[in-house]
Amino acid sequence: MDDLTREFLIESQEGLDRMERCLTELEERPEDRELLADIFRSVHTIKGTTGFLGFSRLEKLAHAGENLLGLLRDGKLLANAAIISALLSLLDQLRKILVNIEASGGEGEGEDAAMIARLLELQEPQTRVGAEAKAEQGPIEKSKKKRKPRTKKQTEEKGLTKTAAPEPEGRAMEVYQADPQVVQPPRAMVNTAESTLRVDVDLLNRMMNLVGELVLTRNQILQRVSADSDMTLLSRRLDMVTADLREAVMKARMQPVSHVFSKFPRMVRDLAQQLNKRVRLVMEGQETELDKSLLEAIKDPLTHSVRNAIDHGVEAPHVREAAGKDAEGTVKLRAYQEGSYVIIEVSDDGGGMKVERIRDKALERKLITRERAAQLSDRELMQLIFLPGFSTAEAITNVSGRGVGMDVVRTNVEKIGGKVEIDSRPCKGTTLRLRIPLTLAIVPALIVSSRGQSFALPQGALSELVHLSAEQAKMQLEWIEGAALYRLRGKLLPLVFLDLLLGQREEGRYDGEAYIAVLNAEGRRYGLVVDGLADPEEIVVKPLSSVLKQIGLFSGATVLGNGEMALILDPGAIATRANISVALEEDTHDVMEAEARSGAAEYLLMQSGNEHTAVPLDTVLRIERIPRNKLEWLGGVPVLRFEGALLPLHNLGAEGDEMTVVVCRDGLRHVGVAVSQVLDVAEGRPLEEAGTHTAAQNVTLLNEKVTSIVPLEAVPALPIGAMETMQ
Amino acid sequence: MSSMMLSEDVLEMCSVRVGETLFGIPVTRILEILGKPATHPVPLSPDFIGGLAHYRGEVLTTVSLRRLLHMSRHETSEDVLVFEGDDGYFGLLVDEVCEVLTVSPAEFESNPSTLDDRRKSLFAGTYKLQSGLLVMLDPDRLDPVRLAGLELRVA
Repeated sequence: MDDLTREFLIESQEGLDRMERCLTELEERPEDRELLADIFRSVHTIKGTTGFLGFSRLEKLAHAGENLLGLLRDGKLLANAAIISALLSLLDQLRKILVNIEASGGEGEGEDAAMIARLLELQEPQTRVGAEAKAEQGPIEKSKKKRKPRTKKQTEEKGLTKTAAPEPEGRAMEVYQADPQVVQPPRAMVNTAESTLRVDVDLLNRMMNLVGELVLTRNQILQRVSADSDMTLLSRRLDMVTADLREAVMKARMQPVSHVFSKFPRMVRDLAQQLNKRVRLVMEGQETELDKSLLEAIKDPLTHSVRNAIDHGVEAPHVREAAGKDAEGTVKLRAYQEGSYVIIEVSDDGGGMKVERIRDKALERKLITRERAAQLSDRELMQLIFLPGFSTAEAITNVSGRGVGMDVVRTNVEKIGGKVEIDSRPCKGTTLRLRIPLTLAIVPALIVSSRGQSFALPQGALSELVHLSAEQAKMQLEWIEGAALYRLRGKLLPLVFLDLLLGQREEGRYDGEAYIAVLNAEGRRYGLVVDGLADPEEIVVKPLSSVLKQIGLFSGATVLGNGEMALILDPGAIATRANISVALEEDTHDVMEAEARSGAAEYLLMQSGNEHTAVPLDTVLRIERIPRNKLEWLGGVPVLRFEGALLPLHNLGAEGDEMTVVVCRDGLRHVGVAVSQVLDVAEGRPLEEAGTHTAAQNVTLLNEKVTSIVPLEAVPALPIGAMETMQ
Repeated sequence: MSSMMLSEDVLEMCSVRVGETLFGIPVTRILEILGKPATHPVPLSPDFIGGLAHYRGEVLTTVSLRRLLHMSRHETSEDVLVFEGDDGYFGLLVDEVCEVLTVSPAEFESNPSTLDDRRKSLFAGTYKLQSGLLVMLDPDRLDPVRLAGLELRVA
């Protein structure tokens, strides 16, 4: 295929994507001239280029479409459902031919006469309207070169959505009014075209790889220069430049989620028609950016989730009306960034998940036993939909229930280091929350060691760490016929010994100290026992050769800051290998956490002397037991030395020879909080001052007790300036 | 393979030593030689895998010639020859890389029938040199993907 044809294909596909978006918008605002002009332009461009390249089928079809669009654009015809449907099927036909060209270089055989006749017929004057009536608003619309973003609040008044006039700004953006400029600049904007460039994804991948390499080399250099002050300065520069470069390359790979979202208006429209439902799609946060490869990876899970929301979520119009709801259901897609994750929510205002039906179905499919079912709470029952082989669709429809269940959604999302959470309320609707890491190439991981060898454990699956001294390990690890268990807050946690799993040790009792990494992989909860822990590190994932992939326990390899190599453990595969089954009870933890985000957050409850204090759990990096005599003083600040780095300490006057240091994150720096012991993890409720109702600072209600929160930002900075941060 | 070799007048062979034996590999097939890099063991990997080495930003899977020949592990670190295989690059661990030798097709002979099957499948033949024998290795036969298939069949 020559370059010209390839370029034509890319441009045409983009043009058709835009046309599809505009067409669904047009249904809401049939009189919007700019939309029509935009659609016209897409078809016109295709027609122009095809004639030149000699694709006669495309040319004829595009020509027929252009004629009809010309009438619409000039206001001689008003777009109605029949016209929009015809244009959408024209679009499908054009796409089909483009696919043929891409595959074989030729347009392929096909009958276009019927389509052309249909388009011709629609040009008949019964749908035409007086051109005069349009004339008044025409010039105003035309004079606008750039469309103003039209956002609106989600009001229930339907009248508002029909008007094309700018409306009050609001956060929610209704899809049918979504500004196409946010998504993709129209062809008319020459400036954008001149300042952008198409880049091969392979090249970007290669660049990312090289940057990763640079990061590793930099890490190694930083560990080695300390004596020479000139070198220190230079290495600082290198450090900064590398960080900036990495960010820039990562940015180049980012695409707004609108690339995926833009497919949905059409899909929702078609599905709703097919199912005789009325559904309005609201999209928010389309400008949120995600790595291209991840965007590709979530396309299918997201599509499935939206289908589910329409098929199972939103009820039929008469059911909705009987329940006192608007006959038109709403499906909302919302994307936003939260830390190093992008959250995508698919929510509907339908009937919610029917727990009884889920339970019955799970019993029928023998996914759980009757006794088990009786013990489960509603929330736990909801988690059953993530089990393989579960589908509640009453009838197998064309839409969902084709064997692609929620388990596939979850597996696909977890494969890229993400998480799926579900929340549902009867009569109010269901929210599915996909938590996707910003990038795949670099992941935060905890470095663990087993029999002297380092391994990287992705932090996405890690929920907490438990340390047992050799003595405690002997006492507290419990056994049922060779299967090891640990009582974690009263519940039995199955344990997997990494050294045993990897064949580094013969069967038998474990001795020595143990670190239990409590993992949650694809809904399976277990503790991975390792014999050592190192700092968390941002690792660059390198793929393994197929021979090593076949081992099935490693998802890749990486080079650590100290130059050592480490294999990346795959928590899901380990769970499968160790026959860990889906734990329903513990899964609710995540859901509750998501729910709690509104008001309550989780805290680590600690004790120093007689006082109880707390730190927000999400700031905690690790917890260590340290002999008191390791404490040193620097310029009046208590500090600890950790592998060459200094840790400023918030000393709560813990007593005894040993103290527990909770290492927390405060912005970029790490801060230690010294306490006597760590008690528990609990949910905190915000408190407010009586009378003024202002939120009380640095205090929370934990286990029904007022507890002070350690102000991490108040820990004095080290007098030597900023601490070295590795990444 | 061998017919192609015969059509050439002289061949340049990189000689490598494993134990007492001198092996030869056509220099044209060698992408790079890494001098005694650190290798990282991979638990549960097939026996012939020598571990991972760092190579140009990628993680290189290496094949240990010693273990292929059921010899004991080498005490110190080994040299690595890098080849391109079906599944990307792979490395071959040898005791040490020696000089480049020039051989002529006339000196070539196929594997002796007395050699065990395992070695027959790994060796491509022998060159009779003045100083001794140079066992010819064909990188295609040492590709970990192929070796893994072979192990499966044996098992």
